[in-house]
Amino acid sequence: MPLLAERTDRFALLRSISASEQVHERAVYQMLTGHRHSAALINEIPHFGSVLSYIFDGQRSQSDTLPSLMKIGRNGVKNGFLHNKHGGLKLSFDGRIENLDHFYERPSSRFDLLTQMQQAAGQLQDRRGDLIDTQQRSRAMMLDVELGQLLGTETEFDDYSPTAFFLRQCQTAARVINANKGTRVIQLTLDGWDQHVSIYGEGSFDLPSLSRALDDGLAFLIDDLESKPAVTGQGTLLEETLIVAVGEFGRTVALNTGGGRDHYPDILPVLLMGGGVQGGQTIGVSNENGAYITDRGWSQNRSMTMGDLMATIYSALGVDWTWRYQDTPSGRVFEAVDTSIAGPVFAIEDLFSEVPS
Amino acid sequence: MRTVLLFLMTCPLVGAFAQMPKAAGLEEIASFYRGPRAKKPDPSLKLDDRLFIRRIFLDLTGRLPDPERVELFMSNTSTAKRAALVEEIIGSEAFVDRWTYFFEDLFSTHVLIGGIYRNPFHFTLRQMVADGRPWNEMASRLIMETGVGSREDSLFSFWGLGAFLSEFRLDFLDDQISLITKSMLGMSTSCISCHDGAYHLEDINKGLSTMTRRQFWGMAAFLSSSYAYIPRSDYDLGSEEGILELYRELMYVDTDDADFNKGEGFYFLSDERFDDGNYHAQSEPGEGMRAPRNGGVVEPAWMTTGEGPQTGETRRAALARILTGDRQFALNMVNRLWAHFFGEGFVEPLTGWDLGRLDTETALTHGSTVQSRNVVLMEYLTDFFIDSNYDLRALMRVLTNSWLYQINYANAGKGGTNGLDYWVSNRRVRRLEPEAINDAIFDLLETGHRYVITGIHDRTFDSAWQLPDNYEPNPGALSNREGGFVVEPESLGFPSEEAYYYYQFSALSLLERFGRGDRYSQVLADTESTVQTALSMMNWEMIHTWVLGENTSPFLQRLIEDYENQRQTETELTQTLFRRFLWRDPNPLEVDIFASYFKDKEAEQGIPDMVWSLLNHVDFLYK
Repeated sequence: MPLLAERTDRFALLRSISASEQVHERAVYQMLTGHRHSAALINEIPHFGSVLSYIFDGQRSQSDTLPSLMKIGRNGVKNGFLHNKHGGLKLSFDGRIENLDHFYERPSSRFDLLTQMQQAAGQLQDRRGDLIDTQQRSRAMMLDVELGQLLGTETEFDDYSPTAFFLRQCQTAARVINANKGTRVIQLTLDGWDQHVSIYGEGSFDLPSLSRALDDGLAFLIDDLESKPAVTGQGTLLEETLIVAVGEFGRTVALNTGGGRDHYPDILPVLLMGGGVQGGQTIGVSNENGAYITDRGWSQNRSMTMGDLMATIYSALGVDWTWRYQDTPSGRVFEAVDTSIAGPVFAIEDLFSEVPS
Repeated sequence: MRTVLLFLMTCPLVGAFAQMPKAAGLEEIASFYRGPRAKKPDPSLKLDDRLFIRRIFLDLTGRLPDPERVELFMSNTSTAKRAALVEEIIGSEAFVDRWTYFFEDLFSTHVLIGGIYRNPFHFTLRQMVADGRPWNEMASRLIMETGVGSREDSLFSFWGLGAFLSEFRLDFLDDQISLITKSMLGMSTSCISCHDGAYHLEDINKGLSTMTRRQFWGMAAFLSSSYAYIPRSDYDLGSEEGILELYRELMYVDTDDADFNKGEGFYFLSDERFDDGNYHAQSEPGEGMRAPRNGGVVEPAWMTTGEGPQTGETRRAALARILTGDRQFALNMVNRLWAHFFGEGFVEPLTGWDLGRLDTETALTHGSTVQSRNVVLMEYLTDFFIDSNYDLRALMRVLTNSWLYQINYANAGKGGTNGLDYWVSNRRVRRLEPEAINDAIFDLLETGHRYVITGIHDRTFDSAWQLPDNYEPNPGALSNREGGFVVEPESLGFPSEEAYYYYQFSALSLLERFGRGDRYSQVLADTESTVQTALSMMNWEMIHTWVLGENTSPFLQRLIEDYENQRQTETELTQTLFRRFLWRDPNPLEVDIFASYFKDKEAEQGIPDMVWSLLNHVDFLYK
């Protein structure tokens, strides 16, 4: 990854973090919620971005016309017990809002017809009224030229390689952050790392191709955000934005018989940059082939966990990660980061400490 | 710092009226059946025949009836025609599909692996529904499942998800008993799988707050003699065929079964500490996902009574006997069916039953209130369900033939807070399920959609309710390794290869957009309206080009031709469209809106436009 190699002073690398799960769905769930998968609570636990959307709701201003949470690509974890409006806006894998543009070449007459039909339905006081409100909000978004520009709907493209897709996601994220319209969390997705066979094969989703996509996208984000002034007027946008690049678990070290690598929760790398992270450092050490952790590199007498990473993200945004919510449907207290099963978690403060020269 | 960016790098009429009760609460129950006697029912609450047939088909089958069936029903003048219709529907294949889906959602425990275990589970469950097997018999079969997991009548998938996902034997047993209590008792007991209820659950669940982790282990111990078992050790695990062979021969066994001999085989998740068939509540810190256990060998004991196996009875047989004999087993299903038909359970959430709040006396001892919104009606229906031998169809007859079911909730206002008034409310108005929206669009427009399922090459399916899980339909289900087809799509009745792919991808995409559930991750379907669903219905290319485009819908083509050849007037056209998509006649204002819209347009533009507006109408998307 040559572009990131030129920017090592901008990011920190965690090498002593372990995942708890080794099945994709459950591991992604934990990564996005800070909670282990529990069948009893699955429909109650929200995406961490939904939690932040709820917490920041009171801080939104009239100019905040975009939702607090945007999810590009994947939408497996939703708003849980929180209101639907905290579910976030889902964008497609190419970083655009799906179906914002009307496909029909003469849309206005159809919409006029629908508007009249909605008016004829009267003031509905049940759930049907929610749909009409939602349709009208969606219609307003369709007419919002600035929104179209922000979310790249006006640009056609025909390159479907991972590099092009991911770069478009990063470009969309950079535009949205720079626009400062209320979005606080953006989830991007680069799929294809589940390389059980032919990891070095020739294809769009082999390791070199995906690494190139990640390299291009992250380097673009670093440069773009660093080139723009912070919203607060002090420093750059990069300093106001925490970027976290993480998979749901690692991969086995040795190649399997199919020339691929399998699921491996014991150790996975995490890249962090911006948002006060002191670049140019690694935390934790793994052995020579990356199979296990030899030095945890932080103050706790255990490996770092997904819970610790989540606590770090909350903390970096100025949110108390011990935040709890009482009035859940099950009656069970919701913790922003679960400690009831996983035990105590800790923010990884070393990321933000000055690196000794 | 303002914003966080998170990158994911991821990878896949007889009996329609139960016997009237003699006990207290007669008035409440009589009102449920026949409407309140004390006051004259509001005439606006009367549900007309056309909306009734829509509702009953959607609730019992998830699909809309054929237009011919509707007109037959409308022209029938019999006062017993609604009850007769219920009877007809619950004898239909569409009913069997819908309720198979209901139980699969309830258990949410599929293992895909090419359909090896999932398909037998799906079709065996379906056969039980088709045969009208009582709920207690179905539950017992699931609990007592043994044998080769891939055999034709296997129910191994009920156990398979946990068996494959768990990394630690005791977690597998704990998770599986949690699934059983959740799905069959309506109780999420996983809280006490980690700690005692006391000092944790007093404000959450009075009943569970009095229970201990040891009591939970006693429940899990009913399962401790069962294992996923691999009968031999000489599979070629370096080849895909060898791995598949192992999967095909994998068994679910019970060491309490006198016929079982472990022989040369070994257990999946094998751990010699737990391979003797007992529940050893003994684990080290960091083992599995629960706090360490330190309780020695735990004997099976039912959590409320302490009852265990009888002499000569296997542990799982004992569990099945005790569980299905517990009144909570029947209460749970009554509550779930009530929620299905009325949009909300007597007890919510459906998995949040509190044994400390079942009745006034018990609740008072806990300083609390009764949990159910209507104890009299709920207990009465539960008595009926038990007395009718756990017959699901019998209970559905009672619910759907009631006065309460057959009112127009959209006109009911907010409703009251007590007794039956709570249910006479516009809260009952709900959005259709993703599967129902999928089927409604393609059925009404007669696009001829049909689907294929992983592992099945000899037939197709014509409804989203026939799909065994959320990974289906699978556009690759007919593909072979060489990039061709195992079976040519045309030989299964697809008009072309292009149509084959279009049918699969359009349904997959539509179901996903409308929030279908995920059984693998145990997420229920979403029926909220979101910006994404609104934009999809209004703007999605598929709706415009494939559903409403030129020459794609035989129904639209017929309508356009009828109008252009003056076989239908403009007024008749409007009525046809309203009846077909909204199941009612247009009001005068709506007639004017359509007339005004249509007057300067060609039929081939105006008619698809009008259908588009109806597909986006609240009365199409809601019930």
